[in-house]
Amino acid sequence: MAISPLAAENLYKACDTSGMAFRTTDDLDDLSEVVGQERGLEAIRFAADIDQPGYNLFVLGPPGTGKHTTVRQILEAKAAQEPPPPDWVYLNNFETPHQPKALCLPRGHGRALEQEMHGLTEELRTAVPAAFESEDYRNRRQSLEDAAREQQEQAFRGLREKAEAQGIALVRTPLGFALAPIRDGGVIEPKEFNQLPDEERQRIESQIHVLQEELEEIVKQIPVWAMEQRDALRALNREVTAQTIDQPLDRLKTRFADIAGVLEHLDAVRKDLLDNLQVLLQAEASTRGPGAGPAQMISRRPGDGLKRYQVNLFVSGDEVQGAPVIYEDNPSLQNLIGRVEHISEMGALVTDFTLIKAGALHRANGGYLILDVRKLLTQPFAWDALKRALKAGKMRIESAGQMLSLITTVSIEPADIPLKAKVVLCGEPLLYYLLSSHDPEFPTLFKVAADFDGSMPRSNDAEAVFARMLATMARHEGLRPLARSAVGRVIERSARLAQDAERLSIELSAISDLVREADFFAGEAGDEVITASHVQRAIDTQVRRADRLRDRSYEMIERGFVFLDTEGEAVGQVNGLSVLQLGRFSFGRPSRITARVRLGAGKVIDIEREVELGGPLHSKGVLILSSFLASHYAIDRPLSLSASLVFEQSYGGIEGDSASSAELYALLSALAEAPIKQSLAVTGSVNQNGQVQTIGGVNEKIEGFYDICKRCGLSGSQGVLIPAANQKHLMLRQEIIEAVREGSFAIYPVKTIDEGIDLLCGLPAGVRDDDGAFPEGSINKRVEDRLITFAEARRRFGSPAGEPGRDESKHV
Amino acid sequence: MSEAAQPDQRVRRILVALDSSTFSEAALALAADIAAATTSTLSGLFVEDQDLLRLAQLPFSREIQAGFATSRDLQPEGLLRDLRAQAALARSALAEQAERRRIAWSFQVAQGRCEEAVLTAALGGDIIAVTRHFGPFGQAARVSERIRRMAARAPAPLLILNNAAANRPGPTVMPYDASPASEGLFRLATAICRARGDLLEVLLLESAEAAERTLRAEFEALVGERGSAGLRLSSPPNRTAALRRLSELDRGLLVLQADSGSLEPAQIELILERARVPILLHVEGDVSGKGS
Repeated sequence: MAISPLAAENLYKACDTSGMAFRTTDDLDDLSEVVGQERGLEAIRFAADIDQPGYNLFVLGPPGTGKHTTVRQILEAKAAQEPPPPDWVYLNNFETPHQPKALCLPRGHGRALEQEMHGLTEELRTAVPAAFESEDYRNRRQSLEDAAREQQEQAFRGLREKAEAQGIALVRTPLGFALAPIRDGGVIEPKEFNQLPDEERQRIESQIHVLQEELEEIVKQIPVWAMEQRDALRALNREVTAQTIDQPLDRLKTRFADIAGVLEHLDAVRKDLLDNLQVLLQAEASTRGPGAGPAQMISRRPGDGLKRYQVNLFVSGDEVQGAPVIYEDNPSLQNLIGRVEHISEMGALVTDFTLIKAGALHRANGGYLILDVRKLLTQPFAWDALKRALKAGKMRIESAGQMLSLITTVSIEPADIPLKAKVVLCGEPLLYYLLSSHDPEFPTLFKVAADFDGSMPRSNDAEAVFARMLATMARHEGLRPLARSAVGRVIERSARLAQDAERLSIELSAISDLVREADFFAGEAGDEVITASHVQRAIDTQVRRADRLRDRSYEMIERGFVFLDTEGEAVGQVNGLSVLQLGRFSFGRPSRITARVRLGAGKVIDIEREVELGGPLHSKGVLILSSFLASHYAIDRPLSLSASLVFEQSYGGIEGDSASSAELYALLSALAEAPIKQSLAVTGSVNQNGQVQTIGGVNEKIEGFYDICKRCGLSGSQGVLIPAANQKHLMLRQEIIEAVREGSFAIYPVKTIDEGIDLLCGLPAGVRDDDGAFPEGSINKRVEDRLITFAEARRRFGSPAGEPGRDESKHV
Repeated sequence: MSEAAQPDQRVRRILVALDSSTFSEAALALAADIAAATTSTLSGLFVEDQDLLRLAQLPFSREIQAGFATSRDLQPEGLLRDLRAQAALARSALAEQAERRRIAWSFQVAQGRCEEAVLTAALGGDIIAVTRHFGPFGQAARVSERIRRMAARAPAPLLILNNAAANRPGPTVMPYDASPASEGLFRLATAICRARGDLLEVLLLESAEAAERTLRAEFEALVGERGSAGLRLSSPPNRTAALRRLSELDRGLLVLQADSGSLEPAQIELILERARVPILLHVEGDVSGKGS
């Protein structure tokens, strides 16, 4: 049952541009909708519309499928119809300054309040000093001071006069006062005092004692009088301040009368102004003076002076039209949830409410926030902070240092702000699945997934839409229009990128790169229109730029450093095909696979696996082919062979099961001792029933073996066995199609191992007859006979005298 | 303006009288400012007052401490220790003020009665800087009386400093009555203003209004073109207004003639009592005689 090779027409599905009704893409209208992502678009619109907690969106899809652009376009269109967000301001908390207050204001009122408060402080800077410089104030203050001084002087005067009447003077001492008897305008000499009669001395002492008690009482009163004077002065200052500030504050209250929270804040401002304004102004004046020294520098700290009355316009709604759509390119913790900045003052880091800065979540509040999930997950603490905010429905500004209690710098705790934003994460499917399985909070916070496809079905309609997409792309990027032929070539390339002749890749970044590069070559050639030749040149140069390692790899085979035959026959040896992926470039690489068999305990040793170079999928393939052997041949006897399989001269890891059919062919060849044609290469996985299954990278694999054959010389007998199901994936290079057409190369679609072994060995595989026996001379018969021989031998070794059998088993 | 009536514009020394009462940094700073302005020496004289030492030897003497309203026995050794500690502090403060302005300074300690010791140490060409409540009996009598009495005996102008209040910058103000003494005082005030770059505000009393042009010419001659000092001449509507202006001064420096013919002694005393600025007090005798 010889398999016919595929016809050249089946190796490539060309784009039929004859049915396209345009000359260049300039004739086509722009495409407003996104191509081929209907499922994803539905999900995005659903997530954007539903107003329930947890219905945030995860847009997953291969890179370059336009996830960001698409979601942004949809959200911006929706956001434009939605109301803009309110303003948020942070205000000083006069009672607990380390906990600034957050206040929500109607859109535009935040900036107005900020400007009004700035104007108020500027006004107070001139009005208040003027009030305190006024003659009225000075007179009243002087009057208070005079009264206080007079009160004190009167007390001393009374005492002094009383003392002087008794010949005693009030004397100023280094630390206070004393009373002394006077003679001739001075204190009496001790000698003279001692010469006085006893009665006189006692009288003086007694008088002084009484006066001292009175003096003590007066001195005790001094701090009380001072305090009374300070209180009176404070009351005067409050009165003068109130007269100055009430009018502008009342004006503000009238303007913001309807806004909750503002009036309370203005009342707090008034109270604080009354208590502190004059001191604050003096502090500001001293820090501005030329002689301001370190002591005055202390009062330059933020929060001092009139800065405490400022408004920190944290988020302003008047900066956007409609609801905000924010894309944060660097979603670090601080960029996400905001930060409290510090400034250095006298060697210390200090901060206040004016240094609170908004994060992307704040800016997106009331709208949408788009984040790249990979970037988000690689930023320390950012993912946790985002989840915490979404879960709590409010935003708390905390630095990483605060979270870990690493920083002891004086900081502040800004009040939380309610969060009502839709968060959209964009990323690869792998990240979505990992988060789904490893983060229990993820499914509850991101309930909607928009799954972007990497390709779409290919049809005439789809090709027409694709052409319009190319037209839109060219126009938007200022590229030359594409001729119909160029469109066809790009579509064909898209199918090749999709690895499927019946699908088109919609990984737009690769497509747009191709069109840009084709435009470059069109420009270089001085052409006004991009043609198929420019596209082909762009494809060729893309490959050329990336294929150095491929060249080196093929050169090694050509020069005989890597053993690979493209002619002749060999037992237990087959050409397998693998694909190497290097960035965005991949190529097929033929490898020699060999199998060796001997009597054993029924194990097929995968040498790649033994040395840990084979991945689990490769091992699975080897186990499947073992099972195939056991279930197809001599099923009434134990499988008694020991076989080893190896990818010769392979020094890197091998993964995937696409070589399992090749490995099985090598094993069958070794068992049947039937040589395999080395002019053929094989790819395809195999199941336990001997069916050859689809594999990936079929185009690269075929092209890889063709390139090697071409280097070594095409003989006409060379070709590749591929799984029959892979026929629809074929989008091969024109060069190979021509070779097939000329009969110098062949591609065989194989459905079963029997078909494959038939081709490879040139002998019939053989089908069991009614008696269950394979025909004599067939491959299967030879394999079964060999296995029976092994089984018999093993049975013999298994007898009491058969110790070697057990040894063999141990050896394996 | 006669030669004999002209004061000696050259100030050679600012003699700062210091005693047991708390000295004021601001007062010292003003004295040092004037010393720097007039390129004169700053000299500190700390007086260990004889009356205080006598008081300490009396058996019943007690000191009521102002800060704590407590009393303690006053012993001679303790008092002397306190005085010397204060002298050391005063010396240090004076040195700091002088060194900050890079002016020559000296410091000495004398014993005796405060006023006597200062007057003994003072010479012509000095400005004697004293605080309002200088001496142990500073609280005893009206400040103005004591100051005028001392000024009358002093061989040089007195600079009356406030004890504790900070000196507020402002113009140098003086009344002018066209008398030879006030002419001399005008020259002294001009010299200070020229050195400090201050504004000199002259209140022209009734009889002196005609002297305006002469004063301007003289001021320009004394200050020169490069000087930054300015002159403002004003004529109060009446004597009461002038008196009010002078007694309500709360910034700058007041230059005053102690025995002016235009202002009565009671009015001078009122100014001395009420004005809250340092006052440079001059007696005619030392302007024309001792100061030349």
